[in-house]
Amino acid sequence: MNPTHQKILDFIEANAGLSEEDKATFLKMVKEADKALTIAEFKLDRTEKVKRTTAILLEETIEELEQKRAAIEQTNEALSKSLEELKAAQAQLIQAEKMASLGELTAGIAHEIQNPLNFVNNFSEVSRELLEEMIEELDMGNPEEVKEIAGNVISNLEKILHHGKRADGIVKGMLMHSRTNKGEKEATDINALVDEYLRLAFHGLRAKDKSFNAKLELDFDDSIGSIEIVPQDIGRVILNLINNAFYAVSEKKKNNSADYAPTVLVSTKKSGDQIHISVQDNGDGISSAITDKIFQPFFTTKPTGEGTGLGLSLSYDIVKAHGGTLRFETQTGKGTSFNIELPINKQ
Amino acid sequence: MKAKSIKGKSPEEISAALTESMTDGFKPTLALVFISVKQDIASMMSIFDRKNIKIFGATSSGEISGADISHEAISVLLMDMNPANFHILIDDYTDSDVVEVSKAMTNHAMTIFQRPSFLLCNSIEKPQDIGIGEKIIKSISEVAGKEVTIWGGGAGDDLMFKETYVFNNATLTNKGILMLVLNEDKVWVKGRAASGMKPMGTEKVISKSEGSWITEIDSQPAADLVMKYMGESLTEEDFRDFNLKNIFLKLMREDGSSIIRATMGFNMDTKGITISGSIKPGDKFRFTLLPDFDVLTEVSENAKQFQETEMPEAEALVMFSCIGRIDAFGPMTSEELQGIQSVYKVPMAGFFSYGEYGRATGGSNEFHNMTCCWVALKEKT
Repeated sequence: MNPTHQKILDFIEANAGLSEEDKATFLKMVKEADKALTIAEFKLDRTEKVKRTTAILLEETIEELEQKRAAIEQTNEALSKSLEELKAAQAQLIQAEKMASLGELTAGIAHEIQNPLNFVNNFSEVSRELLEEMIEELDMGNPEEVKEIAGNVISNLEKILHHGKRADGIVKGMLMHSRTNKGEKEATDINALVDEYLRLAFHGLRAKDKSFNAKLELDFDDSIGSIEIVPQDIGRVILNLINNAFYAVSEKKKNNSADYAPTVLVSTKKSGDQIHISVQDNGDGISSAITDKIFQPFFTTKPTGEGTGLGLSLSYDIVKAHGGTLRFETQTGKGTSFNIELPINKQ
Repeated sequence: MKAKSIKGKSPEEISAALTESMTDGFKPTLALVFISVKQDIASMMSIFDRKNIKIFGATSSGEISGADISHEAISVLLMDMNPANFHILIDDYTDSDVVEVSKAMTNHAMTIFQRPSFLLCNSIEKPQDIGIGEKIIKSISEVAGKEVTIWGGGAGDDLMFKETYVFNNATLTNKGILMLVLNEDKVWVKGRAASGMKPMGTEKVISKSEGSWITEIDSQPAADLVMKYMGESLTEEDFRDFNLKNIFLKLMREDGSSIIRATMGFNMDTKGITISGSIKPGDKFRFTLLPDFDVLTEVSENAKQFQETEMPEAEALVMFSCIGRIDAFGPMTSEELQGIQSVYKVPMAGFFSYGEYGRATGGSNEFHNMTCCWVALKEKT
């Protein structure tokens, strides 16, 4: 008992002046007060201990959280750096893929440029001969003949200009294809774009492999007109799909009898506010074991060195960036159809 | 069934109280005896045996009689339960594996009653063995099924942490398992386990351990970390005798459950701490804070709810409360006891134990630390 309470207790007990009843009441009160004091002291003591422990644990927790925060920050920095490096590597890969597809186009481009060049050369040669004739006619004083020859020369020069522009267009297209994408959309004639890349791909493949041949079927919907796209990007998608189709039929041809007729069907169609572009081949189809992988980056069925494995992956991303979809249907032994759906952008 | 609780500071006082209790014709058949190791246990056994009363006895670290707490004394719960409804089993595991003994005793119990329930106490010959309660509980549950009813506590020795005892009418052992096997078809045996310990701070991982000794926590010497937690700046010499009973860990188990474990001692040479129960490297835990004082009210509220929903009436209450609760609640410890007894207003006896056995709300049968486990008994009519 608290010493002061004990003294009070002793005093009450020794006080003869108090009645027994009062004594009992006072003694009870003192005992209750002492119990309350004991409890209060205990609570205070325990609260102090808990306070001390809590402070230590809190301090430790804060310290640990600070360490974790620092570790997360470090990890974050490393991740940001990795992300930057990945982005740079991705940009390099995209450019590498562009250059690779440009390489595939080279033979086709050469073939396409050769035609206008032949025209330019031939008409230049003819025009030179006509001008020599014109000099002779001038010497002979035949103005009517001179006028006729001059008319022919003008006509020839127009043809030279036309074919020169054609060659210029091809070179510009090639440059655009290899240029870093600025993502600017422009009104583009889809049928013309598909036709151009189809011919480039076909002649490119023919230039590399003289024995290659395939039946090309075109089914263009003339009502499509122009739609807003990034032409070099969609051109790369079409080129990639056509190249793949040609690869599929040529591979099948290698293993099949003369009865097999390699055929690639390219079609366009307008349906509501969508444009459908389909590239269909009658190759061997895609094995079900790899159908879920073909859009993955770096996945290729071509021998090492022949494919980057980025073509379909990038094509998928390009079509998606245009708000469209790229899907495929395949049947083992019967062929594959890749289908692009693009929204008609009326902006 | 009628029950009476008696208490005394000596076998003589108990003998007198027993005689007094029987003057109204009360004829107890069963005595739950909780006694200080400093008392004459043999005399106690003789007193009850002479009157043909079956004894379920354990040494204690403080005795409970009603809401009163005594030290170095004796508390007894007398019941005139039908002898056909209970059976007392005691066995010594000195020369045997405690798991095998527990299983054999449980198998025996199952031959006595189709649906046995258990009040359980066990003794240990050294403090490091306190954790064997975990094995005993697991063994009983394995044999009798997970739904079996088990309540009880580890015998105490007035906080000396040397050796404890359990006994019946004929056997006294410091390496014993004591079971009061009740016929659950004839006797209601229902209880609750309350703790109130609160985890605090971040999760720690035990990096090195051996048996029940933890030597490294988060790759730091375990003793150093615990000293830091306690905020104590004691010398190594001080720590050798330091009483660790105030430190409890909340062990996180792989299945997502958790259990409170008490720290039992330091080894300043290895910088290790030992806990009650098994532990292994990789186990996680959090330090805990002692329960808030309002837990005392909550325990009482829970008892009322228990009465309303599970057991409207009881004829006797048995209390197994962790010795740590005396440190946690000091002079208010009796409030917890009062809070429970006031609900049923029937005789209650029990003791402060080294580990408690029972089922926490929604949990399995466990070996607990720092809980207050109470059991309500009633014979079915």
